[in-house]
Amino acid sequence: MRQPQDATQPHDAAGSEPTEVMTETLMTTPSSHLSAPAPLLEISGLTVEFPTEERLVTAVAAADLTIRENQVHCLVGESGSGKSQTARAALGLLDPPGRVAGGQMLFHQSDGQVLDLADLKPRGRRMRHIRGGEIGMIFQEPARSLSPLHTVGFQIAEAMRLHRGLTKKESWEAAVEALRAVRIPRSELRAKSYPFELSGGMRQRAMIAIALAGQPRLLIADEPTTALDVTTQAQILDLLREIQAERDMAILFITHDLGVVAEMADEVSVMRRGEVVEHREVHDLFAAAEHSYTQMLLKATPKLRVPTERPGSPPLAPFRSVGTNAHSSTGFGAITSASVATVRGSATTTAAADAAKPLVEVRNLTRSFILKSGALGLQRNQLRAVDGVDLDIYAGETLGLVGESGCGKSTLAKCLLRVEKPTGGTVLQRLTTHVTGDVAAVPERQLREYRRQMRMVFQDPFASLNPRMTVRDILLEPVRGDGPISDNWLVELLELVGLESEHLERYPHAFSGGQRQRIGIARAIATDPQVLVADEAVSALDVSVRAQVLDLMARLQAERGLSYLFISHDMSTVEHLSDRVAVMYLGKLVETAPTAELFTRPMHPYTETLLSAVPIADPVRQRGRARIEISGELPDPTEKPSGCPFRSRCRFAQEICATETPPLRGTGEGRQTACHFAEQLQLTGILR
Amino acid sequence: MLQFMIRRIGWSLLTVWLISLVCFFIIQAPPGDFVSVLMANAEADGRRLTAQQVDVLRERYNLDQPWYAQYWAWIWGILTEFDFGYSFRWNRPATDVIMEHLPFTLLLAGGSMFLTWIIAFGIGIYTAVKRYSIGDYFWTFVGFIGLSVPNFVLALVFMYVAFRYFDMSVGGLFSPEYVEADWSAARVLDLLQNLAVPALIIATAGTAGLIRITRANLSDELAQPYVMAARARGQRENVLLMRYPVRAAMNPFISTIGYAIPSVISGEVIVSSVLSLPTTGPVLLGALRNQDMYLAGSFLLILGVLTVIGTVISDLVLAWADPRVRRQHSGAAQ
Repeated sequence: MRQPQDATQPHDAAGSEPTEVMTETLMTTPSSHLSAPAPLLEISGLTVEFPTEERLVTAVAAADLTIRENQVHCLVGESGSGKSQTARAALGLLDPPGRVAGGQMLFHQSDGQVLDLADLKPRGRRMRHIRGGEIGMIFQEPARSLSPLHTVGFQIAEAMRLHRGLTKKESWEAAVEALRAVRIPRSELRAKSYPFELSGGMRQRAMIAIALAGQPRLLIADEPTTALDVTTQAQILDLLREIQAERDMAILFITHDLGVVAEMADEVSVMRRGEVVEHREVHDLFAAAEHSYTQMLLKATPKLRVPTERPGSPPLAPFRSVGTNAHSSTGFGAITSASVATVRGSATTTAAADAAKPLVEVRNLTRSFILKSGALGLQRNQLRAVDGVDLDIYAGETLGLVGESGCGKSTLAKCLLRVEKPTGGTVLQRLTTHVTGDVAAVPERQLREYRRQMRMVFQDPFASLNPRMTVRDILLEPVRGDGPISDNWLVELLELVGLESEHLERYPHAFSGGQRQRIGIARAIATDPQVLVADEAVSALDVSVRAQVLDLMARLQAERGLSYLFISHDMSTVEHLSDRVAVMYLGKLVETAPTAELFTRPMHPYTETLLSAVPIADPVRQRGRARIEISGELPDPTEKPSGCPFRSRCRFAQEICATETPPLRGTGEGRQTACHFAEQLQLTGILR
Repeated sequence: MLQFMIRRIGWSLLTVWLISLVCFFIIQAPPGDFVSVLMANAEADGRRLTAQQVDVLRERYNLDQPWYAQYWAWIWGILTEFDFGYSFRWNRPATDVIMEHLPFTLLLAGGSMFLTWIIAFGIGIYTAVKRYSIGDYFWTFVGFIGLSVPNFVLALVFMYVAFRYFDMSVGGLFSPEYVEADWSAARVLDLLQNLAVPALIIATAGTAGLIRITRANLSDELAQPYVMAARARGQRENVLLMRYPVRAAMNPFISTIGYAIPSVISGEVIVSSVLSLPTTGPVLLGALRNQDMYLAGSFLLILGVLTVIGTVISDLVLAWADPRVRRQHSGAAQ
């Protein structure tokens, strides 16, 4: 690591030997100083400023970073830490009014010359040669990083023409070849596709093909897998590692995900508020982080270890207080969670038979959509977003619901709340006596009390709060019509979620993402519900904030006996929080099991694949385990495979899988699996 | 794509039919009929139409028939003989009156649209790329002046300036020496010269709005990651600007071709009156004021049909320009 000349970061200097001479300040961590490859890009004292009308925002403050040849250098930090701006500054890609206000960015060219990128004009010829020629870049959102009006092949061919001096025809052939090199099947055909006709994974592969067109020696990857599903992420990470090994190329990998770091990095730099606070070899970082911020990040990241420590109360706590008025009104004061078979309630008067019954019983739930197509819209396709789901939610438990995007998780949640009307199946509930019979079928006006008992926390803390309402109005909205509400009650509610009374009159824009999510949770529990449906409720939050919100959710559950349906694509968060987990694929549940068992010994091949794709935030474990390759892409939901929906990607698929749909059936204590061969297969989990 | 076109054209045929019904309703709307107006006028002149004359006229226009038969006769006449009925005020077939004025109107409308686009696009792109610069503020200011000054005032100013300082006769389609002349290259040139000024005047009104739209659209597109991605692969700024964001920002433009036609045609009424141009605007106005029903209805029908055609064209151009429209309408589920 390069030591700043004025050494303003005393906490940062551990393990380093400050030297006087600037040109020889290549400081190294103990484990890498012997055989360190030659530096490729040396950034020192980089300062990036955004002058606005009100004030000067310093996005990067004297950051130091050295990327070496053939190394994967991970730049880690939370949102706003300046990691993306650092990378953009190197390529002169800062959005106006951003500017490099100081520092050097020495790039060692292949001919041995050293070029200071900070000196180049951002729109000049030499910088354009560096971009794409010496340094390639891929971005977070492959969908928006490709022009929607041009074919993928055109955009790759453009890069080929710019950096290889090819003719139009040659460049097209080179583009097809490049698509093949990033493992896109039928690349001649795909080159003629438009970005919106490709899956997210394929788009990112196309972006990689563009970035590699000039055979760069450094690839900057700015959160390249953040917008992708976990299985797609695993495929892209594999591809990047293979390509890096094949070529003479270094990667600057920007990410917020320590699991990805553990998977990819040789070296790691941690950024916080524009400064690089720690730089180490990857194993050293995970084994013995020095900076308190790095330690906090590591602590906040779920480790996927047995036995898991759940935040707040441990999962098997025998008693939980369930003493709220809403609960007693239903006559279910004492409820047993079947998954742990332990009496959790305090009232013992309820019949034992009732105690084991779930709060919500979903049976054969189906939600299908009709898609019009063809001339005059006469052709119709059916999309079964939710396809015959059986699901129980017990009192006081957290049920995790996982699956890739588009598998129907959110539609299922909407059907539970009757935001969307199911097209088939039943939802029976014991939350309220106001609804008699099937929630899926009763008229809208009977649902008010039910919806007070089952509430939702949304994904986007920015979009889910009305910007024109104060916190007071937001919290009062769900209890409107309940008579006068005292300020004390509102303050108590706020304090319950870790906010204060002075926040009552403020508008949402005055709060950070984490605080907004707390407001969202306060709004959800305002009616004293029994079930909270949290749809990706922490996915948009930074890892440290996420940990705090998860702690809050665990505490609320312990204090109020809440049940959670916790929907997420993030397996490690689900493992961290859930008692049971249900796995969804193409609208069907393929497996449900108690969390520890599912993560230790999955019984459905899809679960195994998902677990295998989750990067564990521990380089020793992550690199030591065998990866189960998932083949192909998620099928189009309107054209599901016959029989078992997963068979097209399953490595165990037999003939029977194409002809018979395996039902979700009991396969052990508290476990259900929808696979013909659940008992025979010996599948690998993630926990050890 | 073919399916999309078929569906689109099918819908527009239906729309045209509905427009023709509405137009016919307008023709029939005044109490009495065309012949009774004629009779009243004749009486005012001290003449008298004989019962025989009235019957002949009524039969000529099928006024003794129920309304659907009249509608059918009108439409049939248009479809088979291109006969739009009879203009009572001009005392000539409506078709003749229309054909005399429509071509110049279309020429003027096309010319001013073309000018609007050139000016608005140029300034729009400039102001979006150089946002919050002095040039941006200057052109935005100029654009707003163009928007706020009434067209006829602009027309008067132009007439004065052209006459006073350039010794040009602004007004009319032709300079005096060419009015009665046969068609020749010089006459065409003269026509174009005379059209340029009114086209420019009409164009200024639409320009300001389009500048703002272009600026907003392009600003949005410039912030899209694909612009930075194109930059990051080393493409030149000018090339990538025109190739990616500008092209994407054009889409909303294309979808306004359809509405542009009626607004240009009705927007030039006052300008045409001031500059005494023989376009449809003043004729339509006169027809409406004089209850010259067949002429007015026919004009409305033609304007409606032109608008529908414009919309169809803009849809097809949009499908051609934007693969998202083209490919997603062609069968695959969205």
